[in-house]
Amino acid sequence: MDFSNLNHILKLYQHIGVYLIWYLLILSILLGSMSFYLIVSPSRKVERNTFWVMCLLTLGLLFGFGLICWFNFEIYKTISLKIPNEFVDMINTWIKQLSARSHMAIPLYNPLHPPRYKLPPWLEEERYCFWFLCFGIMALIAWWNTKSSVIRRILEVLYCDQVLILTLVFTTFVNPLPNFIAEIKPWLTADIPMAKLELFVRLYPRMVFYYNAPYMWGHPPLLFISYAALTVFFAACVSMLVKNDTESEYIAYNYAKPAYLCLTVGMLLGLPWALEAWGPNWWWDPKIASSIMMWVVFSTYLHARLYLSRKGMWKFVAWLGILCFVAMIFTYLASYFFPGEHSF
Amino acid sequence: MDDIKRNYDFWLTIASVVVLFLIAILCTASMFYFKWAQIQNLPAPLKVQYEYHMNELASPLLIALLVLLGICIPKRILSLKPLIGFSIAVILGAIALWIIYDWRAALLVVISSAIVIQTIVFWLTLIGKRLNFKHEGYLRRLGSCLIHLGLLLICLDILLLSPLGFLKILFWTSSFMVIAGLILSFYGDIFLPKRLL
Repeated sequence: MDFSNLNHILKLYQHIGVYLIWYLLILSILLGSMSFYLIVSPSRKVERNTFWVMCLLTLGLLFGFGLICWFNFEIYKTISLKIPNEFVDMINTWIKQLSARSHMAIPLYNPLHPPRYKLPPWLEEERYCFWFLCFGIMALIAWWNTKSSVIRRILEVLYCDQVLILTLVFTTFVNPLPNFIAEIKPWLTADIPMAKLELFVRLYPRMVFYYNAPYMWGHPPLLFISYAALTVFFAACVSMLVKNDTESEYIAYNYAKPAYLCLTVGMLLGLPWALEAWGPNWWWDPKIASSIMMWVVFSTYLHARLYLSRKGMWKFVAWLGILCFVAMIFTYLASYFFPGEHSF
Repeated sequence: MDDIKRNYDFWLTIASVVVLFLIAILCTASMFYFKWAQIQNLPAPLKVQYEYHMNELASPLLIALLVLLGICIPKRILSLKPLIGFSIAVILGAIALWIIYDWRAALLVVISSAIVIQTIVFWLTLIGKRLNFKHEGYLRRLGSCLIHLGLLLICLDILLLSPLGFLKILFWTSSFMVIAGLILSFYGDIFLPKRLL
């Protein structure tokens, strides 16, 4: 495989991606406008149509997610870290030494099956498509199951915002995996065996510990599912404050449950991964500290909720729910502003 | 005072909420300090020293949380008076160990005693004894026990953090307990009809 093959796949991806961006952009503006119209003058017909626009948006995101999966699968099929046969013994000796130093057994190089990238569809900016798709599906279910206009409007506005961010801020559909491609480009363009050997030594550990790590299929997606559920939970908590009704509380708790479950399991899966990839010196890393903070705030909500019927607890619990959402946004943005192992 | 006696369950929860908030504040403050002091650029020994220092700062809060948990757990099997006696003994023991040894020893003893009691509570719940629970229903109570026991074991695992084989088994066992506990607590009513819950 050379760089021209990757370029061909990229061009096809970008070609489809541009149409998808326009599709999502138009629908999200339409959704935002309809939601605004409904706030000003409620109408049953427009409300029903809003649901269908949300369905079309979700279908668009689903198609985008499929496109990302196809692109990653093409990378799996076409890119392999194949080294010249004369270096196999030398490389395997090096891998054995690396394994001895690491907490994880690193697979030896097999010339019959050279290592390939098994990229999950939530790497780099691709993650936003998965995250917002999860939110879209959950928002649709919550929208359908509630009669509360407050929850419906908040869900619509949040959905519209997320898709606008995905299409206008991020380059998921026009410039996929920029960091990965920058990393792999020298490998695809190198033609001197020694240069390939040097690149293999740099690329292989990252492939094993990061791109192809089994935890990659559990830790990030569970957190994104949790974030999506937390966003619906936030909408219901705001409604709890505005409307003071038990239906909002019921929806809030119904979404808090999967959010907390996925958050806990996702965070737990991060622990052995961190030990294997970074060794023991990552404790008190900013992202980990903020994740613990978020989990602690969420635990506080679940404990306080046990006494919901007591005087003053209704508002306290609703505010705690909103604080959970704020903590989630803070935790996510922490990766951009704070240094450490998780910084983007 | 009468209100506290009548509603100590509620006040314990409020106290736990306060400690959890303080932990959240410490975590947030640590992030800003990390960035300000550029910890990521420090050599490994200084980084380890920073981690040790932060653990030291967090351990009083963790001990407070564990003591509260240590009160919350035996409250299911003890009445108020022995409960207070037990809690005071745990706090004094932890302080003594901290003075004589270090925060790690204090934390280890508090966690270990909480694990022993929680195991008893778990066993009694499993065989169907009626204990003092806020939750209604057998599966939800069992779930609550599993979550707390699992979390205590994870705390122990993190405290002894090392890549030893035994700790790996302990981690996966405790993680499984937490996950199973959460599923039973949240979705217990799906598995069993309401009259059996």
